[in-house]
Amino acid sequence: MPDELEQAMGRRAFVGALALTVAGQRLASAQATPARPEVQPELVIDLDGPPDNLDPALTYSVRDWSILHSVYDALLHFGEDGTLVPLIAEEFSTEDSKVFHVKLREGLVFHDGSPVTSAAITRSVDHLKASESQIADLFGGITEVREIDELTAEIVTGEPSAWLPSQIAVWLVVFPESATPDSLATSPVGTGPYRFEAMDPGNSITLVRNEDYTWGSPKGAALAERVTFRFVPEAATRVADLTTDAAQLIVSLPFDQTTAVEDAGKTVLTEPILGMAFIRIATDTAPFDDRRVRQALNYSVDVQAIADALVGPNTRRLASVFPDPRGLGFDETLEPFPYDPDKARQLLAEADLADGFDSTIQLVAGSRTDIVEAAVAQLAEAGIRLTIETAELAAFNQAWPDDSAPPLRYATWRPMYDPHTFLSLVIDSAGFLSRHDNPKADDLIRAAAIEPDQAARAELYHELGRLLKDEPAAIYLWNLTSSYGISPDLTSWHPRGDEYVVPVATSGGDA
Amino acid sequence: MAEQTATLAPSRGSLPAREAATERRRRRLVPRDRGALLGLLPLVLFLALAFVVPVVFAGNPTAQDLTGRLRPPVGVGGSWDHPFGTDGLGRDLLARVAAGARASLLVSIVAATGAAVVGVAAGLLAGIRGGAADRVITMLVETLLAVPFITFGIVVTATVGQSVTNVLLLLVLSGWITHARIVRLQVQSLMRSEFVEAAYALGAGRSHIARVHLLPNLAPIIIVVLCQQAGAMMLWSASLTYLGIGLPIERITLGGIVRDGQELIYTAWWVSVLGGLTIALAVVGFNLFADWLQRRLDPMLRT
Repeated sequence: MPDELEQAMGRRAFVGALALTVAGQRLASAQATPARPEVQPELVIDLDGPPDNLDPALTYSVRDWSILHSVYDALLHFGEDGTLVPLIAEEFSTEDSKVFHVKLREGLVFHDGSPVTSAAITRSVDHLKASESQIADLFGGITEVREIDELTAEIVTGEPSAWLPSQIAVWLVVFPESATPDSLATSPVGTGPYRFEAMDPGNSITLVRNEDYTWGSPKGAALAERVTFRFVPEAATRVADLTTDAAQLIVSLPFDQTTAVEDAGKTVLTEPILGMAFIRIATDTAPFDDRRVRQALNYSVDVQAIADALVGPNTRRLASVFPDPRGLGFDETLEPFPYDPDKARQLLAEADLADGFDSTIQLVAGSRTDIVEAAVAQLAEAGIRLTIETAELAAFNQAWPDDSAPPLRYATWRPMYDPHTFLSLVIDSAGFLSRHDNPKADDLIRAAAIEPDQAARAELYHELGRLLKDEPAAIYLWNLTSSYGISPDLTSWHPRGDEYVVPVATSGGDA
Repeated sequence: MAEQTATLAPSRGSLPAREAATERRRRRLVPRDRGALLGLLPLVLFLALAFVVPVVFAGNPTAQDLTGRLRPPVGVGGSWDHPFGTDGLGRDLLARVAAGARASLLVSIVAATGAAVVGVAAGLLAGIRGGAADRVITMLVETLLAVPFITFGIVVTATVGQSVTNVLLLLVLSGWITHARIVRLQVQSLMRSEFVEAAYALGAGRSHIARVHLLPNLAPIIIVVLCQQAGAMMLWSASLTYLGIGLPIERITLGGIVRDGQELIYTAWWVSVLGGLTIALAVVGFNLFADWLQRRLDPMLRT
């Protein structure tokens, strides 16, 4: 939620404002959906790899979510300015952040023809809670789903959970009664703008337009009759696909190759997204349990130089774990660490590590090795000698809480509209992915989690930001920017702040 | 090529006479082999790149210069400060290729030697003893032959992690089977030769026969296979590293240089191309060297 909105409305009014009414929503959808563009017969999108999972409870990456939100709809949806908009819910409101009232739209049907009723909400919540998902705990806070009638329900949480709507927008998608664990993983059926057609594991997924998706969804209308998501890990191959018209949209365009794309007459779109890049520091092992060492790590890396050379111009540096003004907790008064190797050496000397030390850093195989190598070379100058280890994505994700894994890891995190997911999983000492132990941070995170008022939550997060600057949980790098190469005639597709590539026509915030 | 190698019965001439004969043969061979000697050029170039270049150009292969990244090589817009240009982190590519060449050479020679030691021992054991030992070793060889190298590499690095030792072990594990098969076959045929039977009749033990009668006869073929494998192993280790499952990232290797440059192939072709050409130089060089050695050492080809 943007701060100015919170300030403009009193606490009570703001909480009530989650109740976005039919009229308000119609306005939103009218803005979001421009005059219906020509539906192309065929669209090919190159993603940078295959999704790990299609089961809604087990989706953790942009690749997964791009497919997920093309086929499914969640109750809520992030609009282009980062605000939450009801999607298949017609109304979504709460007074105390404990009972969330949901009224579903009338007449919605799943791709299999069955109607969308409030039982679908219960089904999805049960699935999320029962799954072996990293986010099962988040939805575990839901104690009950009361089905009031066919289209109305109440989602009840044990404690105030003002962060829940943001999680719902990512994970709480609805699926029909006929869905089985197997079908969720291999042939998803939802209500979204596209029907799932076929999957060629490791290579591609084909979707076809859902002809019933005509209710003015704020998500936008399908761009093409048939969409093929291809999985192309090599950036150079994606660029070649685009320049030879084998693909009309490619993701993760490296900054070095923007010229090649523009020279071929294609368009480059660059969009700051609500996510961040950082090197997580485990505090459960020496010498990283000493905050001076963690500060020294931050002073040793010339983040600006690396960003300018390897990420692109206009990269915004991080001061702590709140990357973007569109997300809760961002504090523009907090300054990032300056590059100061002398200060780093001094801090290390104070921590009795004047000769430096050896450790290891892990990253996903095939991800930004160059960034890690650049940082490692700078850390070496301060005496911090790191060995680089790579791991496959699945192994990397498994190793988040593993105290035998390398204490440092280069990672990115998105979306960060509401920081609760990240904080409760990675920073809170009890988090499912955590190797961080700071009781003061735990207190703030837990207080913010049950604080119903967003303005008060923002203030708690500001305090947490200052704490995590002083006692770093990571080497803070930069907010993420997403770069796409697109075919120039694809004018009605726009990048999203959460980075999902859903092939729908939107206004791009111009309306 | 291996199976053609014939047995070399130990000559019984006097020592000076034998040396004179060798010398005559050498003189005769060198001019005739001039074309083959030309084939050694790639290996000489590769070795010069690895060992002479660092002396002439004192570049630092790890020093980064983020403001001077992706400078082109000399001749295509670059300067002599970085004759091969710079890579994505502004590191001197010539220094990196030279360092990578040395590292890759070391890995391939150590691995090829290791494979030869293990393979020859296994081949001798299977060939001389026969029976159960032969069956076990043959079965092992056939099993390993059925597993594709890269798959094997992925399994090994996924279970035991990435390190120089693991890559060496992997290369030895994949390489020894060639030696074992060739040596086993050679030994089986040598065991039936008269001089081995004579040695048996005189009461020689197996280890004596292996050392005195078999190994000297096997030496030429072992050396040829070793040289071929040195080239192949350079390619294997580069492939593994390129795929991100070989040597750790912070080691400078030729495979790593090709991988680093792959994403930049449209904007800075020289990183991958120069790294790749150096690998090609080494592999071609080792193969031509092995060919030349075979011609020199193989009596069947010496007419």
